[in-house]
Amino acid sequence: MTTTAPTDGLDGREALAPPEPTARARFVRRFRRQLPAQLALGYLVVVVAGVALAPLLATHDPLVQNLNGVLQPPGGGHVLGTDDLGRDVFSRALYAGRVSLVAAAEAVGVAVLLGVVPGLVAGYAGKAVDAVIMRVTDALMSFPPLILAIAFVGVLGPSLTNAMIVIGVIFAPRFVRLVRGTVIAIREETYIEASRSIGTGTATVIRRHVLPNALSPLIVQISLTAAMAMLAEASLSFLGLGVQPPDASWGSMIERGFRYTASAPWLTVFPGLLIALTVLAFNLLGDGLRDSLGREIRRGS
Amino acid sequence: MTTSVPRRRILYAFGMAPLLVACAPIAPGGGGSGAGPVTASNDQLDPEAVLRYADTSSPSRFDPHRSTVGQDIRFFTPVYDRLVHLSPDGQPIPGLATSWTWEEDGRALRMELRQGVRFHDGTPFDAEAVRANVERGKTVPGTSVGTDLANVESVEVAGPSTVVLRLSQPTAMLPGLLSHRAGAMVSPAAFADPDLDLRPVGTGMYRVTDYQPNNVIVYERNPDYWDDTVVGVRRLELRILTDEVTRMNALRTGEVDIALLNGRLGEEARGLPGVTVHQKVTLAYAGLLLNRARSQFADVRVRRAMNLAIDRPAIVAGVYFGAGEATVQPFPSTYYAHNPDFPADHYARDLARARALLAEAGHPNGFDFEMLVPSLTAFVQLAEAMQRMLAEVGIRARLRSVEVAQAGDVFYSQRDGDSLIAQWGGRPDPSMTIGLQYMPGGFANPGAHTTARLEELQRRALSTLDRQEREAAVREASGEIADQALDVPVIVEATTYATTERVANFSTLVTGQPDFRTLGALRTP
Repeated sequence: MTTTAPTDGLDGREALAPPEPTARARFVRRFRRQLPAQLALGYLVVVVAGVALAPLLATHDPLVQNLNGVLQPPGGGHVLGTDDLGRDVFSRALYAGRVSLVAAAEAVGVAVLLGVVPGLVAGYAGKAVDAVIMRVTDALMSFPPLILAIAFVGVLGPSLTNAMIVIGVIFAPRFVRLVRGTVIAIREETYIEASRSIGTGTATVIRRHVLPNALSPLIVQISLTAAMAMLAEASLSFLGLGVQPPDASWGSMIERGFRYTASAPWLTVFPGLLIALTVLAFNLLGDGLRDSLGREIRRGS
Repeated sequence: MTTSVPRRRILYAFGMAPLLVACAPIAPGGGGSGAGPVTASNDQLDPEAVLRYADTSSPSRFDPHRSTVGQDIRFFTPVYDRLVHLSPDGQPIPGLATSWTWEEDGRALRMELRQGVRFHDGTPFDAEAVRANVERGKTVPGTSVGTDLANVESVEVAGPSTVVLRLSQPTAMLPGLLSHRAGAMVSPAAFADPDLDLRPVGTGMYRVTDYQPNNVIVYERNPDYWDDTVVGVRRLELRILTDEVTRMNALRTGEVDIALLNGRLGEEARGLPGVTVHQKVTLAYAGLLLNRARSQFADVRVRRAMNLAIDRPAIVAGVYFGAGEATVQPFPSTYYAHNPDFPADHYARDLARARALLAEAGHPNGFDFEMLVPSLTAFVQLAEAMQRMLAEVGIRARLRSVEVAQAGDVFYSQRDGDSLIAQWGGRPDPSMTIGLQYMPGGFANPGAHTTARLEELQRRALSTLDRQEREAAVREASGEIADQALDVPVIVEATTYATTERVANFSTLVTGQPDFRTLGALRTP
């Protein structure tokens, strides 16, 4: 009895039905069972804190070159070695992380902005409106994302913001489809019917009832899209179409280091690890959130 | 004309013998199998061989009169003979012209032409074809050899195989000019062909049978070639592999037999079995070319401040791994046009002086300008290094990437961008470089800026046929260029080629460009 948790208390009250936990409490309880997702969250917190505090953590100015000390291996005065212009890889990786994460956020932001409203409209209005929106979405989805991004960046000029806006546009259909599907399901729920039957306006129904219930799949999708956006940024920067020198992102650091893979592997290994781990973390977090949000499948007790 | 391809080269002209000293191929290091440069007699060569070659970029255009990059000459020489050729040591030797003599105090050049030569399309090569080509070079829209031929007033057909080039003024460098793009003979029947840029038609020892820009150029032997003393190979495949690591890997796996590398990879290649590394200082220099009609570059104090901000030895060591020498003028120290009064440390890094000059020029807080950067690693590295050094005196460079093959078009023809990170491939005669880059009408002088003294020196260099006097004038001109800081030269580069043991008689002209006439492959035993 001393080892049991107080909520299982033996004061007899437990015999009564427990009060319905709040949504947040239920989420926290379910998320606690997702160890990988918790680790991922922890990692992401560390990374975000690290890049946010880059000026404090950096051991060197990320732009200061030392042409007499290029391609130095890790150790000595440089934790992760130096790059092809003698810049400190650790400090550059910190600042590059800002660029990579902000780029991912930009793409996700654009995708959410462009995806959610058409998804809501298509799902709720149905019929012709739905058909038109979904055909446009299909058309957009039929483009190979990176090729389209390369074409746009070629026309607009290489800049990371241009690249990420294009990536955001390309990812928007995923949100349209997701939101639409969720809304179609929600629309048939009895609480919507009830609300409408007492005369609630469409806008209010959407805002008060539909949107909040569509949020959880959306949050999951945001996490997964962030991972894809990071990879897209890395690919574009690797092709020299993203961030412009002397700034760097993790992707562009790999691009520069790629030429020295044999003689200076640290130039590619560390930013590569950061990208891989961060993408993994976003994916694990997304999985964990998916399992912690939305309907809970309860097994018989 | 200038730009583009890293570690590259120039055509060589008369009087450049000293450069040959640097030409000895470097023996492979301990890990190698003891390969050395292979020289072979004609009967040791396999005329049916196929050689594969990895280069950095396509020519800007395959039309020699309109190509915008001087180093394109390396793609043209297999297919286009010039009126004058260059010997391995850089002397003008007979090409399509078998002999030439000066007449009328240097105001006319009489050339006797090789007889019985036909273009790849069957058109006969004769005096009329020469006249048509010179005419075209001077007038074709978008010509890049117009400046080279500016002094040629007319071409007189003095016989079926004799031409007389009439000049507006004595032009001592004309034979040198005619060994480069200006002297390339295109079939007159192909002038109107809109596809001339894809299907070149010359008289050369190879014809181009397949050309896919940025991918591959396939040269096949011209069976009717006039010079039966050269062997060559049946097929020469030139692959365009922009990335140096890819070229290195292609060499490593035997996918190519010849690869253009860089200083750092040259070190690595030396360790490969059976691979020979050839490295030599050339006339190609790299740095920042300025459009002196834009940004703040009209002011000599600003230009000097920029020169003083650059730490050349650091760039030579750090970016080029020592493959080259620091310079403040367009010619290397081993070349007769080099002015010894302006050694590499003439603009030794001096931030205080640079800042003082900027303040004097009215920019105490520096200024912003745009730096075009061809998208090749070597250029991006040079650009970032210079950007950083300039930033320390408050000059802020905005980098803009341009595609390699377009860099010349953008900066010279469209006059876009304040400055260009470039490698000037050099010319067979220093007066050409000066004329193109620093004279008001020069193709590579988008700002059309010059100095009165430089114009006078150039006039002197062109008008005297006396070699000593000419060389003195050119030297003085080079000094003026350095003194006036007309651009920001950084390094005279060395070319690094690696060849496998199949490759015989590989040599580069002083220009750094491979000599395709001697190049061959060993018979397999």
